[in-house]
Amino acid sequence: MGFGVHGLNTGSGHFGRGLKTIVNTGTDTSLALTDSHSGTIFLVGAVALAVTLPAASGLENGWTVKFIGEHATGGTLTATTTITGAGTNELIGHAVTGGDNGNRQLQPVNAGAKDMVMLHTTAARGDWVEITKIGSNFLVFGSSRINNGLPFA
Amino acid sequence: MGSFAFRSAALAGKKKITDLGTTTALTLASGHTNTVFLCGGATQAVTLPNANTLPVGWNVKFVVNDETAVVTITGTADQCIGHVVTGGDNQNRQLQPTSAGLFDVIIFTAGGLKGDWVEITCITSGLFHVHGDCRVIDKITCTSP
Repeated sequence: MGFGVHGLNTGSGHFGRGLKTIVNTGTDTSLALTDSHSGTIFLVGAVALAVTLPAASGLENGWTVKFIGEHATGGTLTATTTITGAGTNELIGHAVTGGDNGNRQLQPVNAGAKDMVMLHTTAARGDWVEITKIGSNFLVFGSSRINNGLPFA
Repeated sequence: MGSFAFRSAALAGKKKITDLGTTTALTLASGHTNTVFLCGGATQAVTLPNANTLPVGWNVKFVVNDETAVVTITGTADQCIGHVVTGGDNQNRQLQPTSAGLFDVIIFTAGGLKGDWVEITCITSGLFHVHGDCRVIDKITCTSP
């Protein structure tokens, strides 16, 4: 794929051409991420997909992936994508959800480290979540136009 | 500006920054990928390429750095998904478009502020993902005329 050192956004190849790496997960039902997936945007939502993050301790700071709900039925995602950390309580941060003219609905509702984040089947096409390795955790941020469309657990 | 300049920035892990200044028209092409355009210095009409003609991963970003005038970004019909979040401090979030669906015109309208931004990425054949943020209610609009 032309990733740079440790998959970060350096070097030649795809990134060198100024293009983001996009991977359509299609009908895949499981995906175990590795160091080399850094910098990738995954299109999800066609089928129930279980994504496993690498252990944060094994990744270089700056490792990042993004998920965009693309496969939709009637405007909402066809199926849920669940992104789970290899360890417990590795995810920090929050996603902002909520519709037009609505209150900000944060996920998780209360601050605290979590194990997983979902692009739920109730989320809308185009909703997204980004995950970046920072320190000993993953920083998670995302936006959904549906209340609690990006639930943490 | 040749494509080498764009590649040089990408190779260094950087974005290419282009200040549109008082430019009034810009037709984007494949070679503009990885560019951040500073806009708003004049009424500006930007034309997106047909997403069917672009490599997947193509991306551009627009940031208001001059509050003088309206910037209109127009694409091929119904090639955009996603949303822009607008609204000020301590207010409800105001989404654009207001309802989920495809759109093709993004406008930085009068009253938007410096730092408001939109990012556009070709995520698959014929489709852009759009996200952005604006600190004034609905001063970035996403529509399908």
